[in-house]
Formats: sequence, C-alpha cells, structure tokens
Amino acid sequence: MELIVNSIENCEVVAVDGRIDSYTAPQLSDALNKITGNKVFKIILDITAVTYVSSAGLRVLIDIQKKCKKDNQGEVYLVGIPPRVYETLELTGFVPQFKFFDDVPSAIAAFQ
Amino acid sequence: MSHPPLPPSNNQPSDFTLIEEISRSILSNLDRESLLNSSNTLLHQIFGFSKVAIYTTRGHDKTVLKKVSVTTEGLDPESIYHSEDDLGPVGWSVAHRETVHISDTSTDDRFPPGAYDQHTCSELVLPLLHGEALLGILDLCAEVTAAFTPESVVAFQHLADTLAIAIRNANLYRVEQSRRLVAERLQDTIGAISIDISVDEVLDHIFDELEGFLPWEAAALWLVDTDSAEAGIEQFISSFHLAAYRQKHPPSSTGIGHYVQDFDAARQLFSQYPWTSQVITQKQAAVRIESAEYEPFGALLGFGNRYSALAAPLLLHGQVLGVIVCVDPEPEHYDDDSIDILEVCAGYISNAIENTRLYSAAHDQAWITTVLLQVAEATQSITTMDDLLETIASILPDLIGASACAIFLWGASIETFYYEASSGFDSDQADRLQAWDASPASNAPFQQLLEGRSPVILDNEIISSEAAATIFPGYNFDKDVLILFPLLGRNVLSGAILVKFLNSELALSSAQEVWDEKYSLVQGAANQAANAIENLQLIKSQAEEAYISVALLQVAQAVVSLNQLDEILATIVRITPILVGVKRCIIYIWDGTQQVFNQSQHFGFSKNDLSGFGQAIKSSDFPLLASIKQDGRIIYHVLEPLETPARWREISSNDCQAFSEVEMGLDGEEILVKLGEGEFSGKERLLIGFPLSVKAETLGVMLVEEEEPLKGTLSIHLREKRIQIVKGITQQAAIAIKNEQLQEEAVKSERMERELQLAREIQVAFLPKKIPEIAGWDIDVHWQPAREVGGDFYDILHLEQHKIGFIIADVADKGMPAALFMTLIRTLMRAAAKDETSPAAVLKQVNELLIPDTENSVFVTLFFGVIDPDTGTMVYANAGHNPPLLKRHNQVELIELTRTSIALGLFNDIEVGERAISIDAGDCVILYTDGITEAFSAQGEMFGVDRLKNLLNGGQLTSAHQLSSSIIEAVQAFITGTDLSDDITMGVILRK
Repeated sequence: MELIVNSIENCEVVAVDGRIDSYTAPQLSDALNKITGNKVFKIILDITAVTYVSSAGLRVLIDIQKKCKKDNQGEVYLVGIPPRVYETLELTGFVPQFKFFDDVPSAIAAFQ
Repeated sequence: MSHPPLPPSNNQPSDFTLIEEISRSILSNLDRESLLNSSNTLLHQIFGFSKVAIYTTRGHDKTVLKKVSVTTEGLDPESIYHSEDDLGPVGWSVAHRETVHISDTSTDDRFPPGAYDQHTCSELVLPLLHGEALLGILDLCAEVTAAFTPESVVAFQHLADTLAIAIRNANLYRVEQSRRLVAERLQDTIGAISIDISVDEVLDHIFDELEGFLPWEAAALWLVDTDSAEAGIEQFISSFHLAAYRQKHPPSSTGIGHYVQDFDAARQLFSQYPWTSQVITQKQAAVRIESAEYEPFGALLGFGNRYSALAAPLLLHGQVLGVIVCVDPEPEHYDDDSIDILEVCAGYISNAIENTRLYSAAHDQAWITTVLLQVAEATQSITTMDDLLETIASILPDLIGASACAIFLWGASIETFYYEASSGFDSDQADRLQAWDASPASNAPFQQLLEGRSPVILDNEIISSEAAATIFPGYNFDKDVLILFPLLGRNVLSGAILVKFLNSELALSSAQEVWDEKYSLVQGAANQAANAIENLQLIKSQAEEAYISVALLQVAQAVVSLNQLDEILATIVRITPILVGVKRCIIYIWDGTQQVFNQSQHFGFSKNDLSGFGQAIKSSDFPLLASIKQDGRIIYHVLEPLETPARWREISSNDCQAFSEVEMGLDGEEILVKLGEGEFSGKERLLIGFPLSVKAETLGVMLVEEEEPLKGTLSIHLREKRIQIVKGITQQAAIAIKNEQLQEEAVKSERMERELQLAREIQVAFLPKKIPEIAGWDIDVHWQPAREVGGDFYDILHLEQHKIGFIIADVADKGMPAALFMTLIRTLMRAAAKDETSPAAVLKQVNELLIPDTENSVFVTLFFGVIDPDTGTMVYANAGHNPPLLKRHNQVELIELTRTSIALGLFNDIEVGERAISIDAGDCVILYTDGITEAFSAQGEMFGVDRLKNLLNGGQLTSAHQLSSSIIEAVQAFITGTDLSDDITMGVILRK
C-alpha cells in the first residue's frame, strides 16, 4: 500500500494505492489520525487504485468517518471507489455512512 | 465437526536463553583446554548436535588449526587440521572468515559431496573473530535438516563472538603465565651470565633452565657466523653451525657430538634437513607438524615421521643470530604455550649471547672490562628508570675520563629524543639541555646520530649558530669537545649520551689510537647502559602487559557475574577510571528504532555537567557521538583548559580526529596503538570517544575524558596503553549491550507467542465443544484458526420450543482484543436470545449493549438464524455478515441470505430487519466467514464468492461433513504456498 497526502483548499486529499488489509491498515490509520490530529476534518480519500479492503480496512474507514463527523466538524468523502470495494461496504451495511465521488475536484467542490 | 491441531507454540526456553547461559559459563574460564572442552560439551548436550567442534589457530600460521570435538560417541582426541586441504565449509570459513549455514547438506551444492560428515544433514560454521583476527572456528552439525532458524543463527553468531572473547582472554592469560614463568627463571641466570665470559657456559646454563620449561629429548642451538649475516639467504642458511647440543638420554655411542666441532659437517646437516630454515626466513617460531620435512636431530636420532620439533629464531636488531630447536619422538608434543615459552627464552638467549660477545670483544683490554663491569654492577639492582639513568649519568664521566655527560632517550612513537639526566654540567646548562629541541627533524646532530647510529662530534658545521648561542653559550667547539654517542641496546636505538671532554684531556690523548680506544670505551659503556635501560623497559612493559591482562580480565569478570546491563555498564564506567586513570567516563546507547542516543551509565560527572543533556539525544544534537557512530573509529577531541562536559555537545565533527593507527594484534598478541605523528604535542588533554561495536554494528559510544595535562614522552606511551585497555573494555561493553538487545527480542517474541497462545485458548474455550444431534438434520462446522486469532466464532444455542439458534460471526480485530471481544458477544447473544424470540430484536439489543465497549470502531459482522427443526422454518437476521447461501435440492440457483442490518458495535439505534425462509428436505444452508472468500493464493488472487458458489453446484450432496470438507480442501489447495492469514469458519446445515 502506498499513500500520498496533499492539502488542497481546506481539505486533505489522501490517495491510496494497493491493498488495505490488516498489515497495511495501521499505516493508513496513522496517516489519517495525523490529519485529524491537526484539526483537519475534511478528508478526501481517493481509493481509485485500491485493490482490496479487508475488515481491518473497513474499520479504519468507519473510525475516521466517525471522528470527522463528530460535532459536524467535517466528513470523509470517498473518491473512485472500485466495484469490489463497494461490494464490501455494501455487505457490511456501511454504504450509507459515506458520500461517493467520481473524481477529486468534485469532492473538493462538494466541501466548499 | 473438525478442529485441526493448533499451530505449535513455543513454550520452551528460546535458543537465545540457552546460549546466554552457555556464554556465561564459558566467559570466566581462563584455562583454554577446559574452556574449549566445556563449550563443546555444553553445546552438544543442550542442543543435541551430533557433532560440535572448535578449531583454534595455533601460533602464527592461520591455516593449521587445532581441533577439539564432541560427537555422539564422546570426546574426540585433539587433532591437527589443515584448512588448505579442506574443500568443505570449515575450510571456506577459515579462508573467508564468514559464517556458513547449510540448511540441507543433500541439496546444498556449494561444497563437494564429501565435504560433510556422514550423518550431518545441516551444519553451521562460525568464525571466531576478535576484531580482525581469526582465533578459530565453531562448527555445529545436526542430524536433521534445517536445524538452524535465522533467529538461532543470529544467536549462535553471538555465542561465537563471546567464545572469541573467552579464547582471547584465555590466550592473554596463558601468554602472561608463560612470560612470568620464563622471566622468573631466566632473569637470574642471564644476570649472572652478564659477567661471565664463556659462550659455552652461557649455553650450558640455558639448556639447564630450558629443561624446566619444555619437554624435549634433544635440544640444539644453531648460530650463524656473524660475518655472513649480510649475505644472501641461501648462503646465510648454509652458514649455520651447531653451537651447542644436549640430549637427555644419550646412548653410549652417540656420534652427534662431533658436529659441534666439525662446522662443515654441521652446515651440511643443516642444509640436508631444512625444516628449521623456515624459522630463519620468516623470523617466526614454528611447530613441526606430522609428516613435515625433517630437521637434523629428528633424522640423526632416527625419530618416526610423526615426531615433534619446535624452533624459535634468536633475533638481535631484527637480524637472525641463530635458532634454538627442541625435538621429541612423541607426536603433537608442542602447542601454543611451548611457542610462547621458547620465543621468550630466545629473546633472553639472544641478549645473553650478545652481551657475552661484547665482553669477549673487550676482553683484551682489562681496564675497559673493568669499566663495563662497573656499569653492569651499578645498574644491576636498580628497578626504576629514573634511578638507573641518574646512576649511569653520574658514574660515566669518571669511568671514561670525561667532564660531563647528559642522557637523552629516544621516543619512537613521537620520533624525538628527550633529555632525561645529566652530571657534570652546571644547573643552568642542564636546564638549557633540557629545553633543547632534540627532534631529529629539526636538530642536525641528533638526525645524524639516528641515521648513522654512530658517534657524532658537535662542531660549528653541524651545530647551527642559533643552537650554539642559545643551548651552548660560552662554548668554543674548537676547544670544548662534545660528542653524541648512540645508546644501542639489544634490539633498537634507545637513546643518546652527550659526553663532554675537556680540551686538556684531548691534548694528552691526541694520538689516533688513544682516540679509538676512548671511542670504543665510551661506546662499550653506552651499550652496557643501553642494555640496562632496555632490560628495565622490558620488565616495565611486561608489567604493563600483565596489568592489561588483569584489567581486561576484571572487566570480563564483571560482565559475567552481573545480570543487568545497567549494572554491567555501571561497573565498566567505574572500573575504567580506576584502571586507566581518566577523569570522566560515560556510555551512550544507540536506539535504532527511535534514532537517538540514550544516556546510560556515567562516572565523574556532577549534576550540572549533564543537566544540558536530555535522556535521549538526537545525532544532530551531539555531532561527536554521530561521527563516532558513523565511522566506527576511535576519535579524539583536544579539550580547551576550561571546556566542561556541558559543552561537549557543541563540539563539531571538524574538531575531532580519528587516531591514525589503532590496530589489533593477532591471536592474543598485544594490541598495537600508535598515535599519529605530530597530531598533537601530547601535552593536551583529550576527550576520546570509543565506538561500542559488535562486528560492523555500532551499538553505542563511550566517552573518556583525560585527567590532567600529560607530560613528556612516557605519558604518550601511557596514552597508547590507555587506549589499548579502553578498547578492550569497550569490546566487552559492546558484547554486553548486544546481549541485552538479543535477550529483549527473545523476551518480546516469547511474550507475543504467549499472548497468541492465550488468545487462541480463549477462542477455543468459547466455541461449542460438540455439535448437537438433531433428528432429521445433519450439521457440520469446520473451524481453523490462523496463527494470530482472526476473530471468527460460531455458536449453537438451544432455545425455547426446541428451536435451535445458529450464530456465525467475525470480529474486525485480531489477537487478544478479538478473542476478548468475541467472548463478550457470545455472552450478550446468549443472554439476549433467552429473553427475545425475534432474531432482529436480539441483534438490536446486543448492538446497544456493545456500543459502550467498542473502541476504535471495532465492529462485528454476525448472522443469527433460528430454526424450528420440526417445520424447517428459519428466521434470520444478518448484521453485515457474508450472506449465507441456501441451496435448494431442486434448484440450481443459490439463494443469498443477505444483510438485514449494518454490522454491530458502531452506531446506536440501528434498524435491524429479519426474514423467514423454509428449509425443505434435501436443502442446505452454507454459512462462512470472509476467511473463505478472502483467502488469497500465492499469486495474489482472491478465492471469492463465485468459486464458492461453483463448488456448491457440482456433484451430489451426501452429507454436511462431505460438503464442508470439500470446500475446505478447495480453499487449502487454492492458498498453497501461503500462510493462513485469517481464521476460516464454515458451517453446513443440511435437512435430511
């Protein structure tokens, strides 16, 4: 898994590449917690290049979403979700917890 | 239902713990033989190796080693091993000084098939290195393949390091013992000889003493004709004659004696049996090994091919004077001890022979002999250098008819002469001589003396007008005759004597032959003085050697006897200042994870000294530490008079320098530390930083601050010795740190292993012990845990009205937290199912109860189905779990029992739905966790739902067990070559 973090406008865009499983989830979790630790709660997660999300990965997504949505501070938007990952979200019932976007600019626009 | 055996857990003490125990027991063993045998035996017994062998280098030859080994048949007799003849791993390791690990001797093709012992299936060969020097090889053979894990290889490498230190300590101790032995017995003999005249008598004495040190049947002394010493080596060797010979049990008619008289016959003999000549060409002692060439006496006495011989060269000024040989018919009679002893003896013998020759040369002139005797007698009982030099300076003018003299000693390490004593000069002149820069680089007379090693007359040509004016004011070099004589001792130039003759004396003795006589008289006295000086220096350096051995052994003792690293390092920082006389000493340990130096133990610092230092220090905040760590070399910084420890952190790496030459000697020989020339005058106080390194890895740094400004050359010598000792100490400190780190890792992995084991035990304890028998139904569950608990669980509940509840769930966590969370859900489910009949209501209640306990968004996906066994109706609720599949007996299409709720544990007040289906005879429900569908193949492909569905479509359904087994087998086949990363759970409910 690889991570690229960019600040655009008032949000952080995190592009993830590869598998989010129990081995890589802690790395993603650390990166996201660092962002919320800096009081930025508008996060765009670009998961276009993600091949697999395990339950540990789902846990990271849900956890950061709960943190961002707390007290209406912000939200995590998912960009470019691959069908297989969407299925995983659907299976567990997490789909309603997220807003989905096709590309980063539209997600940024939605935050403004 | 099938539970495969749990993955093996490791509750035995780890290799490292065992090795640590062995290390401790061997480190304090100073007896080499028992050290090697006990190491072998311990390794053999504790680890059950089929063979354990330790090879140790002997003497100077690094290709012939001594082998001691233990096999299942017991202790093997000691034998000699030639690494050059061995194409196997041991030979390779000797040549390359690297570890060789052979996991399977039948498939490893690096060495020829015959390179292994018959039953050896895996082998680990470890070089025993101390610094750069190879001390030996540790060879471990096992009768099973893959006996060594990567972790155990690291642990055994550590043991090899420890063993190398133990062997070195034992070597140091041994050398020290033999030095002391020889010195005690020979000193008196040689002292007595100094006033003796006959070379024969000298040699006779020596043979007498030699019998006490070494076993031999015959001993001989070959001497070279000094005239041919400059000739080529061929001619040189053929010029040896037999000077003395002794046999312990001479037969009645020995014909050997005539070789002593007959020089030609002896020379011919020497050339015919040339083994001894290697000792002469290499200027090193040697032990004859089985089936080597003969030397003359083995041949003359008719010894068998395996007889032993030991020879050491007699060296004088680096020239070979002769060679001493011992022979014995027994094989393997001489070892490293014998070499040490004979080498020390040879040193004394050379000295005695040279002295005797000097005396003989002066014998004709009785009065010269008297002078020499007087010098010898005056100096014989003196034990300190100052006294000796004072004595020589005060008696010399009278003895040789001069008005004054001054003694300068040569400091080889700083390449200068320095004033030591004088008599006959007035105190102002003595002061001026003391202030004279006698460095050959800037002082012509001393330069000429150093180069020519012959007397130099001081005149206006050689003395600069500046020196004449400042050092010798009021002197007239035409009238005052000043001559500089070299002090030539046994091996080297040890100094110079400046002698002042009065002009009137010269006028009386202006004839050339009187001059010559005077020259040889002074030179003879100077030689005698030089011998006395060298003897004293030798005794002093022997005392220092002994001191170093004792110091290092003390540290070794501390490392062995203490358990805690802190205690060991605390002892080291306390011992170091006492042993070497430094002011402060502090250790920093490098933490590779945090990338910081941690301040460890220290001595001699006040609170204020260290107040500026945090406990953890970044490299960038302390450049001195950073450069020592980076270079792995000993570095010094010249301290300003008032530079306090609080300012050490500001020292930039530009203000530090590495010592230009710091070398380790081979095999227990002294460590050579030569301070660079001109790097500092020697009077500054240094802060010296030592890397604490094991192999190439620097684990920490020790800083040592010198006490007072140093004075003179002897202090430079002291500094060299000091660095030598501290270097020895830091090696032991580094080993102790490495120990601790390895132990921590072992403890940590043991703790993790215990936790894994406990988590699995909890998980197993809360799973149903057996599947209930229900009439008309066939139920099977397969559950297989991953190494780390994956959070799968299932349960079967007996509910009211004979209904049966099925639960399959997966906690989104691993290890102990998952296991504990699982037990919580099981308890909540069982409690809720008692009160509620609706599965949806049960899940809703469990979710509400779970919320306060979930941290970091741990959630659980869970399927709960309640079956009425009589009607076949199943009411279910699915909280985000992989949809179970319903396979109708009469239908190809599978029915997915999809989600009726979000996963549990995350959100309050969730909506939970439930559905009802009917399970008819021949239908079955397949429940599973994502361990099945998200199993990955070695190629990274996912098993997926489709593969599962395809498996269900094929073939006739005969039993629940048959179906679950076939699915599990398919998954196992799919993931071949990978580790099971998640738990796998699969349940089949078949209505008959």
